[in-house]
Formats: sequence, C-alpha cells, structure tokens
Amino acid sequence: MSTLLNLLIFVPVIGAVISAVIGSNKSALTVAKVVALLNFALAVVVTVQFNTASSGFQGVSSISWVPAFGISWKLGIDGISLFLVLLTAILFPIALYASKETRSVGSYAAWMLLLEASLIGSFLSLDLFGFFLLFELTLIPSYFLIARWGYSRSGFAAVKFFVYTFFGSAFLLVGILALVFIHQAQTGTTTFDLVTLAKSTHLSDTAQEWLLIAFTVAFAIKAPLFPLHTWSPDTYGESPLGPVVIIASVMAKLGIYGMIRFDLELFPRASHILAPLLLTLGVAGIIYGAIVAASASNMRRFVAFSSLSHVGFIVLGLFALTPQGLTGAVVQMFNHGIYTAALLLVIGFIYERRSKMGFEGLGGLQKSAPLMAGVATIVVMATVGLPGLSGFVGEFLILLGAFLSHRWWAVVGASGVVLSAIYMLWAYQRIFHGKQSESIVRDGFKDITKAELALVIPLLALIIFLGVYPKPMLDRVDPTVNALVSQVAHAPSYPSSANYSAQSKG
Amino acid sequence: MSFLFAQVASSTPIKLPPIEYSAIAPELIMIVGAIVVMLISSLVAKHVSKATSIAVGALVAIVSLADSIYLGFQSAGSGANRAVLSGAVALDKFAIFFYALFSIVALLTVLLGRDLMNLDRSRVPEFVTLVLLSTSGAMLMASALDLIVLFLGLEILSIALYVLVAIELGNDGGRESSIKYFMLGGFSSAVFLYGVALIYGATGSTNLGQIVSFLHNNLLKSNGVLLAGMGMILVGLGFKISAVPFHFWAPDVYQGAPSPVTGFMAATAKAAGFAALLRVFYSGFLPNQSDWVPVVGAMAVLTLLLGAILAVVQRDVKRTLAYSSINQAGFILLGLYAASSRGIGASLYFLMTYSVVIVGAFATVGAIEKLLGKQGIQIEDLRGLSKKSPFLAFSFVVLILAQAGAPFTTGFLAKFNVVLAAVNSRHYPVALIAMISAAIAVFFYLRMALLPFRAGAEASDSFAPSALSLEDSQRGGDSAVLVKEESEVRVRTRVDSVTVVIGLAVAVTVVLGIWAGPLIDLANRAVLFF
Repeated sequence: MSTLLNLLIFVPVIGAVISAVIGSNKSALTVAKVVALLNFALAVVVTVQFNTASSGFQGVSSISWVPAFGISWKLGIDGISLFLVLLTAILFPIALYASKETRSVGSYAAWMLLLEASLIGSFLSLDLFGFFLLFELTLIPSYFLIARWGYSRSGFAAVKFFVYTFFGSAFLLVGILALVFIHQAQTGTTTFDLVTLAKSTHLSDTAQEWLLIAFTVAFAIKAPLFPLHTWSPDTYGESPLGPVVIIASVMAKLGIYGMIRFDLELFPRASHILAPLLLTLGVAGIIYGAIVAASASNMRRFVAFSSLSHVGFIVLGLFALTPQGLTGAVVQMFNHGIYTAALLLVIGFIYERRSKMGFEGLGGLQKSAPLMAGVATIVVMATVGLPGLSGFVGEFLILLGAFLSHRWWAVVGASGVVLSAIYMLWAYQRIFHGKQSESIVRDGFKDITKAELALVIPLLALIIFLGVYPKPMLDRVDPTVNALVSQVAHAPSYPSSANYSAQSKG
Repeated sequence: MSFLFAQVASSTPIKLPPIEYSAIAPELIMIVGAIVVMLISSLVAKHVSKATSIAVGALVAIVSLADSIYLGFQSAGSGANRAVLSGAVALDKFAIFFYALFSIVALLTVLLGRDLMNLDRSRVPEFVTLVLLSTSGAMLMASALDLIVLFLGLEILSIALYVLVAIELGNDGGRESSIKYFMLGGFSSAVFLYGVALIYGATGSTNLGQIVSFLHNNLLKSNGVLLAGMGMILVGLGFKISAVPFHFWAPDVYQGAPSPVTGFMAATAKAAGFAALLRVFYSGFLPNQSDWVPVVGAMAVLTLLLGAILAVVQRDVKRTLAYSSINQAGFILLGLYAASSRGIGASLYFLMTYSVVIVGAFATVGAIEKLLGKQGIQIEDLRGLSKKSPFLAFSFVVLILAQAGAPFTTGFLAKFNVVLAAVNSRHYPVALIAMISAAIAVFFYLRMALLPFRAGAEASDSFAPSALSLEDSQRGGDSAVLVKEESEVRVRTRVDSVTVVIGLAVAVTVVLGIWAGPLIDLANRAVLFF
C-alpha cells in the first residue's frame, strides 16, 4: 500500500518529465493520457485494497527529509483522502482527453501531470511541511496552464488566482510554524508530523482559535468559501477546458480537505467554538452563490457561483461536527467533483460549437442536439440533488447532520436546495428549451459526438451508481469520520499553551 | 602611541604580533591572485588573450574555494573557533562559510567576463583583478573582529566596485551609476566610520570581543553615544545591503552597471554587508539586543514591503530585479531580527542560495541583452524569448521562480527558513508581513516568468511550437537545449562559459531545493565565534 501511494505521486512526475522531453510533438499528450490512466488504475487498486474496518491512516510510510527541522516525506491515506485521490485520478484522464490543445503540447501535458502529482501529494501528505510545499506547488502548474492556454483575459485571471491563493498561504505557513514551535516548546522535539502534532500538543482555546483562523484563511480561499471566492469566477471563466475541470472539481476540494484534515484534527476545541462563524459563512455562500448564479450571463461564471453555493453546503455539513454531516461533506466532495466536471464538459462542448461562453443566443438546443440535452439533464438533476442520483446522498446527509446540531443554519441552508433547483433548471431551460436563435438555425448545432460521449459516460455512470448504491463509499468513509467526530467532541481543554521563551542563542 | 615611542627610544626591537597567515589564506589568495593577473597583463600584455586572464582568475577563485573548504574541515576537526591576528580577525565557521560563498560568486562572475562584458583584451585583466580584490575585501568584512579592520574590508570591497561599475568604456549608464554609487557609498562609509568612533568613545575599544565584554560588565548611565554609534553603523551597513530607507542607489546602479557586475554586486556586496551586520550586531551588541532588535524589525518590514510594492510598477528587467533584491534583503534581515542562532543560520542559508540565484539571473539577463543586441531590456522585450533561445528562457524562468520562492527550489526553503526563525522568536506579525510581501512580489515575478513563453510581437505565429518544455530543466536542472529543425529563428546557445555559469546556477537552485538537508545543516552550523 505505501509503495502504491508513493507511485501515485511519482508516476505522474515521471510522466511529466517524459512529456516535457518529447516536447511539442502530439505524442506528448498521448503519453500523458497513458500515464494518467495508469495512475487511475493505481488509485482503483488502492480503493479496493483499502481496509474498511480501520479508521486510522493506512499505508503510512515515512522518510526523513530535512532532519534539522524534523521534516519528513510522510504519506498515508484514510477514508477522507481516499475518495479525493480517486476523484483526482478519475478526472485527470478525462481532462486530458478533453484537451484539444495544439500549442506547446509537451509543456501542456507536462504541467497537467505535475498538477496531478502535486494534488495527489497534497491529499496524501501527513507532514505539514510536505503538505504546504505541495499545496503551494499546485499553484505553479495551474498558473502556467491558465495563463498560457487560457482565453483572452487569462493572464489577468491567472495572476489573480495565484496571488490570491498565495496570500492565504502566508497565513497557513505562519500558522504551521507557530504550531510546530509550540509543540517544540512543550515536548522538546521539532516535528512537522501531523499525527504527532495532533496527539501531543496542548493548545489553549485562544491559541487554537488563532491558529484555526490562520489555517482556515488559506483553505477558505482555495475552497472557495464566501466571501473569499472572488478569484473563482475569473479563473473559471478564462481557463482552458482541461485545467478548469481540475481546478473546479479537484483543487477546490483541497481547501475543504484542509479544513477537515487540519482544522478538525489539530484544533478540535476551536472548531467547536468557531463553528457558528464558519457555518454562517457557508450558509451565506449558499444563498449568495445561488442568487448570483441565477443572474450570471456567462456559463463558466455560472458554474463558479453554483460551485460557491455547493461548497457552502459542504462546509455546512463539515462544521455541523456530527457523523452524518461530516460523512455527507466527504461524500459530497466527491460527488460535487464528478458532476461539476460533467457540467463543465457539457459547457465545453457547447463552447466548442459556438466559441462563445455566454448564455445569449442559446436556446432550443434540444431540437438539434437531443442526446446532449439528455446528458445535461442527468447532470443537472444530480446537481439539484434528485433522489437516485449521487447529489442527493451527500445533500441529505449534510442537512440531516446539520439539523441535529445547528438547527437554524440547516433551515436556512435547506433553502439552497430550492434555490439550486431554480437556477439550475432555469439555466437548463435557457440553453436547451425555447426558440432557437437565428444563428443556430442558420449554422446548425451538431449533437454530442461519440468521442465527447465517451468522456461524460464514465461520469454519468458514477452519478447513477453512487446515487443508487452509495454503500461502497460510505463503508470506507464512515470509520474515519466517526473516529474524527468523537475525537473532536471529546477534545480536552487546556488552560494555556505553556509559555516558552524566545530561544536564546546557542 | 607613547608606548611605541618609548619602545623606539629604548631601541629595543618592536615585537610584532605573530601572524597566522593560514587563517586569512583565502583573502591572501585573492589579493595575490589579483596582483599576479595585473602583473601578467602589464608585463606580457600582448600575448595574453581574454581567456587566459579569465582562466587565471577562475583558478584563483577555485584555489580560494578549496582553501575555504580545507579550513572548514580543519575547524570541524578541531572544533575550535578562535580569534587570530591579535584578535582582529576571526577564524570561525561563520567566516569560513562566507569565504566559500565569496569564492563561488567570484568564480561565477569571472567566468562571465569574456562574453558578457563589453571589454577589449587589455581591459579584461582589470576586470578580473577588480573582482578578485573586491572579493578579498568582502572576505575581510566577514571575518573582521575589529571595527577598523571591518572598515578596511568595506573600503576594499567598495572602491573596487565603484570602478567595476564603470569599467565598460562606451557605457554611459555605467559611468553615471558609478558616480552615484561612489557618492552615496562614500557618504555611507563616512557615517559608518563616525559610528565606529562613537562606539570607541562609548566602550573604549573597537574590538568586538572587548566591546561585548565591556557591555556585559558595565551598565551605562547614559548610553546616548553608544546608541548613536550603533545607529550609524546600522546606517553604513544598511546602505551596503540596500535596506530601506538606504536603498535609493540600488535601482539606478543595478540598472546602469554591466549585468555581470550587477550580479556580483547583488551577491557579494550584499552578502558582505550582511556578514558584517550579523557579526557586529549579533556578536558585538548582543547585550544591547533590546535596543537594536526593534529598529532592525522596522527596517525589515519597510524593506520587505517597499521592495515588493515598488518592483510591481517597474518596466525595466534590471530595475525590477533591483527592487526584488531589496525585498529579498528584507527577508534576510528577518534572520537578524529573530536574533537567535536559528535566525543567523537562516540568514546564511538565504545568502548562500540567493547569491547563486542572483548571479545566475543577472548572467541570464546579460545573455539576453546580448542575444537581443541591446543594453537594458524591458520586461516586454522578454516576449517570445523561448523561441529565440529556449535555454535562456528556461533558465530565466527557473531563476525568477526561485526568487519568488517556488517549491522545490532553494528559494522556497530560504524563505521558509527565515520565516521559521521569525516565528520561533514569536514575531508573528512580522512573519506574516514577510509572507504577504512575498505574495505581492509574486505579481512581477510571474509576469517575468510568463512573457518568455508568450508569442513575440514580430513573430505572432501562435501555433509555432515553443520548444522548451519547462519541467525538462526544472527537474534535472541540466542545460540540455532542444533544437528543432523547423524553427529558423532560434539561436543555438553556444556551450561556453556563460552557459556553464547559468546552467550551474539553475542546477544548484533545483537540486539543493530538493536535496535540502546538507546545506541547511551547514548554514546552521556556521555559527558565530562568540
């Protein structure tokens, strides 16, 4: 298992080097696709081998890296990270097959694979330094992918994305270091190991609150959580198809994952104390995202705001701090990734036929493209949370969990279900129903091709399968979530984080 | 004095203090090397090619590097850091670390002399001589235990630099920069010297060992003179490291000087200034920590923010890099602000890695200037560079990203290290400001990192393959250049000394960014002698 986890990171890295060496040749992309598929196979093996009885980290391996600071290369997987790794591994082949880049294909493929490596690495890393490093590293491939292969205003969007996220990282880094040194002052050892830090650092409530805020700023930007989401419409709007699928579906999850993995495990008391604040932001995001999405005129920006609304939902489940809510959040992270990717692909297909991202001039596409309309229907229904499709499972669990502990937030949040039905169906109508515009009547509108269908069918299959039979997923998620929730509930309170004096010269 | 007169009067021979030449061997090697190059060029000028004088210079730097490593092993063996030359010079791991650093920078700079400097044959030896002499001054600054010796080093370093900046005959910008640098540099030296005088007045000595023991054992009733002295020394050295508000010369001089000289200045002069600053304040004025730490903190904050913000609005590549180097100086100051051995180690690691990066970066800028055939390139000029020279575009991007602090480069660890030290000393707000300044700085770093891959203005064929694939060199750090038949515009980079220097800088930056442990350990062990 531990070898598999390392392979999941290093196979894409090697693939990136190979694609880069091949250079601008078309075959670079082929190599990348093969590598991504190989990584997918590895992820499936990991998912199957995953022990459903265990709540802790599995396949843990650790190599000392910078001994002077107690930094090691430590990987491990549990029920929370498992499905994010799987999600990444599923979406990268699809994103690569969806890419129609003709310029500098080698670099494109290499950056994509490097992005995959850094994302999977961030999900697997159990060392705070390693996590931070890989968390940062995701920015560089994304930046170049957006800026070099994006649409007309991509340079601006890429810089905004990078600087915004980097700004959050500033808080994260200082928070990590502060935690490490408090631990060092208490125990005398310098370590960045997550498990050790979570177990044997005694933090006062105030210290926990400050650190939680520092960590959460970074994660909330990445997620994105209202009101730190303002980079996302530009980024979604200007990125090329392959990268936007990854950024919207996987990278955004990195923020939520950070909240679960680090906020809850390291600062359980503060998570309790500050839960109302984060729940409020989540709920505000649900409502705000829904309203703006309803009025969006650009399909990509529409997805950005609907995602904001859905991420608000996930945060609602997460900080409800109940087993149901947290399980719902983890499940929903995966499902949201799948249906958002499908949604972006369909939008990408429409864009390819018209070279316009706006809603205007669309309408009545169902007549010319019935199959595409069918695909879109399933995706939209999953997004709305129709029972029997994957979106429902997570949403239901989240609302249930939130209702148990934070009733009023759940009540307001539940309005998001209605709102999402409104803006989603309305958007669907604007595209597929109504009268066809003159330009579409004149130029025609090609229905979904076989190649395009091949890209979305795996996603549709997952949407239906997990909607009907979520058990394999819940089996793997539940033990970890239950352990984490009880750990958070029974976290002891410490009066102070023990003073320590500034290290004197030695 | 009267003691000397008495000795002379009594006609007993004056006892000279024993001189341990091996302790200052790196300095001596540099000086002797400089003299040899000068002699060769003046005696047999007609028969000496550019390459020969550069080879001699490089050899001198290598010998000095070897000697520094030897001293390092020796000091590791005996473990004894000690004062030599009657307590005027330290032989400690700190000094040896800087001997090695300065030797490396000198080596890299000298190698650029033939191709990137616009010098005719008879002037190349002058360039080599000045670089070596300047380096010897820097070495003296790093090892000086006496403020007067420190001043000597400062002057040797600076005067050679004033000339180096103006060494290209046809370069008016260089001359103007030189005058500016000279005026302000002379002024700051004077301020420094006045500070030394005040310190002498307050403590009765210019020797750091005696100053620190005086400050330990005595409580000054009024310490105005001491504080003024410390302040003036901080100003004098703050000029050398281009800390805000003593940074005004840096953008003009960096822009006007020939690129290899700028790189040398940004590495050696800055590192020497920091070496002196760290030693004087962290060793000599440690008992008065509470007086200078807040001042250094304020200086660090200003330097971090102003450097980053002003860089964003620049158009010229070298000016941008100048402001970026001001921003980096702020990070290094954080190490001193932390005032812990961890902080010193972090500063040293930063200086070592940054020196390599900045010499490489300015070498790349010089090579790009040569490729485009103009002096002084704007950021816009970088557009389409990847088609003209994939190797240069690539190296430039790696070195820029390293300055931005990208993961898996030494730049990331350097920033991580100083912020770690600041947090360890519980300076949370300043650590946060440092990271935010890094976020601001990302603006211009990214702009410079992207443009080489954007289609050029004249060659707007956006479908032409950009042959350089980034990961290629980023991973291996090698300087392999992919040359494709289908593109005619691309200029094949000759494998010459410039390529070697740039390739080396890139390789070191990436390899040590991943295999990080050893250099961090080395920097952390290079602690001060007391």
